[in-house]
Amino acid sequence: MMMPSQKKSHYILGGAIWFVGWLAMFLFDGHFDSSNLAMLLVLTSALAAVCLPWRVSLCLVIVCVLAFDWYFISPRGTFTVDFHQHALMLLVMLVVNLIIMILMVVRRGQAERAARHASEADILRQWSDTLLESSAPHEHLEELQNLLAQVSHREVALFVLKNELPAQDDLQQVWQLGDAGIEQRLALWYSTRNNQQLGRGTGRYEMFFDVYLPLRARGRAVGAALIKNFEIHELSTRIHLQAICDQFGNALERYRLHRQEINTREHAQAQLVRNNLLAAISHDYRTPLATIMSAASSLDEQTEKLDGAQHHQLARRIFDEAERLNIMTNNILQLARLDANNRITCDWQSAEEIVGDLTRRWRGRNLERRLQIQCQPALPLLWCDAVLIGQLLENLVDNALKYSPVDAPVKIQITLQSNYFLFAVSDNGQGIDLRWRDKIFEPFQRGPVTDDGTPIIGAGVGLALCRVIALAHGGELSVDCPAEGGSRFELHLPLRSLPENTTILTKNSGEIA
Amino acid sequence: MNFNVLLVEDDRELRVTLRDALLLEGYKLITAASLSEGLAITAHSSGAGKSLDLILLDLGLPDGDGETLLAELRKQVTTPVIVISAREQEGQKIRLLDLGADDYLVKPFGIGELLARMRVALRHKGISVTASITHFKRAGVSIDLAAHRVERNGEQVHLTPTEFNLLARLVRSAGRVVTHRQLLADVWGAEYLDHTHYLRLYMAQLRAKLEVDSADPVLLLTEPGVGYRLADDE
Repeated sequence: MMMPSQKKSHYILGGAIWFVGWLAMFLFDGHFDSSNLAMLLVLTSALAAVCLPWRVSLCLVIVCVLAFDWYFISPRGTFTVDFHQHALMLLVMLVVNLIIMILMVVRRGQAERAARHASEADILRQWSDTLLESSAPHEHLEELQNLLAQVSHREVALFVLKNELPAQDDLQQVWQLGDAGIEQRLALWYSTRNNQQLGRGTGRYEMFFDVYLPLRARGRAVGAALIKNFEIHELSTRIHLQAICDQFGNALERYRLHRQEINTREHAQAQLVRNNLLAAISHDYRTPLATIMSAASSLDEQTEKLDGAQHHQLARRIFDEAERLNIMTNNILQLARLDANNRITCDWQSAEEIVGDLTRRWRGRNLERRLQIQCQPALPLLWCDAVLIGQLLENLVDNALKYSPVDAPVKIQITLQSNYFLFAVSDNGQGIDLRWRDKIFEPFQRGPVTDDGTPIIGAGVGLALCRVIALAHGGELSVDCPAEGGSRFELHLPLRSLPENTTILTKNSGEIA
Repeated sequence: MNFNVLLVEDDRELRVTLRDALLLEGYKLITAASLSEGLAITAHSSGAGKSLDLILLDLGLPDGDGETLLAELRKQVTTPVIVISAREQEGQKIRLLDLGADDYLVKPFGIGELLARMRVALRHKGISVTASITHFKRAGVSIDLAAHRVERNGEQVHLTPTEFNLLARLVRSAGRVVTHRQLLADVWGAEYLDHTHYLRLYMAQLRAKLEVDSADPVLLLTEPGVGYRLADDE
């Protein structure tokens, strides 16, 4: 399509060619005979036809042939022709000019079509690139609207389904861009549901002034576009518009399928994790339950044969194992809680206090004699969730007690390093094989197995929880097995400086040593 | 020991077990299995003069939350309430204590622990905070609040005024948990409620002066995430 300014310059150029042609004919008049001048006329009209529209060229050719007859063919000043050869020459000139014109028109039409196809292909390619580069096609709705408007030179409204096609027309389920009246919305829904073009020139609902194009994707539509006041003869433009719509439809469909695939995979993965976790938990629960059950049934069925001490011992065993189940339950609950929302309630805490509370709990289980606590004096306060850090240490200590010989001590050291707190829990157990060291922190790993292949019931969920807690505090949990034997778990927690007013408090009151 | 105890617990097994254990200890038991039953009994008892001495309250009841009963109860009477619940969120514990519960126990718990908490609650019964547990003695430490005197193994311990106030607040509630909020408000003032680091630092000072091993305290006990508890008087 030509711009007006281009058209104007073409007219000027065409006029100039004719002017020069006539000037030359008048100049050469008398030097050459009229048949030679006629050749000049043919040349001029051929050149002018290149730049002028065919209707103008046709008129000019007829006028100029008559004018040539008037000026140059004797008798001059009349349209009558003396000689037969002159008449023939004029006729040939007219025919040749017309043929040139027709050729020019055909050629120019071809060129224009080629240019339009090229520009359409270019638009489609760019649009396709945009959609391919985008991670979410529905973020390009406005671009689609602008592009359709630009190509059609019409006002455009868009209707795109947010998800699957709803059973009933529901405006909540679509993104709508641009204005559409009630009837237009109905037509958009119809086009989307039936995956069909509607309106002028489409063969359906011809009485509409507008045309509706579905955004097609694999045999269905993900929405529709409304092109207002579209003309029936603009078939090629409509095909182009439909291609743009289809590209979008396909891109959106691809995106949705991709999302769906990811969701399915994640769901399957979550299912697998959950199943493994449940299996691990049930397995871990069964051991204390077995002890409880046998001790309780022994108390129930062998009452007369048991002496007082045995009685007490069995009851104690039930109590201990119930306590173990309780710890395991707390671990699982805490893991689920931290998994759901990683929120922890931090406050200024004293490391000594956290360990002190821990010792008290172990004393309840008569195990405190195995604990050796070394706490560096005058430690600064720690910014953490005391309950969680307490639970973490409890798990580490529980593990250490379980994996080391019955009377071997378990050491807890708390020291201040250059820029972090170090909590270390070490035991004299058999240590942990190198290939297990990373795996023991995964939720359903269960430590090494004994020689006959039965697993030593281990941390199960416990160590996984420990690591989650450490990470939630911006810290780290690692395990090391020193050459002298046993294993040593290290928890690093970041150091934070106390709020300003504490130093003021210290200075003013002088109460804190 | 003729204390009337109301036990509100919907789980039959636990209710029966606790009832039998408490009957063995000589308590008189009234049991309720639902919130409405509990409310009816408390309303009836406060009207009819046959008063309750202690209430053991479960939270997750079939027809509502035990918290409702606690709130209802605290409108009129000061009967000690010990909450027994499977919920172990610290925020919940603090809310219950601030709402007027005397103590809480997280399920599962041992009967020994329950009996100890009950003894403490009964001793505090009818005693308002300002009156008058003024003497405390345990693990070689003796405290006389009226005389401002703290001794350890017969030797006087010097405390700063703030340390003494903090200790005094715990002595008045000996055996019971006191939340961080309560301590900060009573010792420092309401505007210091979020200054928990004061509490940590002073508690460390107190432990250094009163405990044998401050990393293994026997007097000044920590209730993680909730508050502190001075071990019960000997």
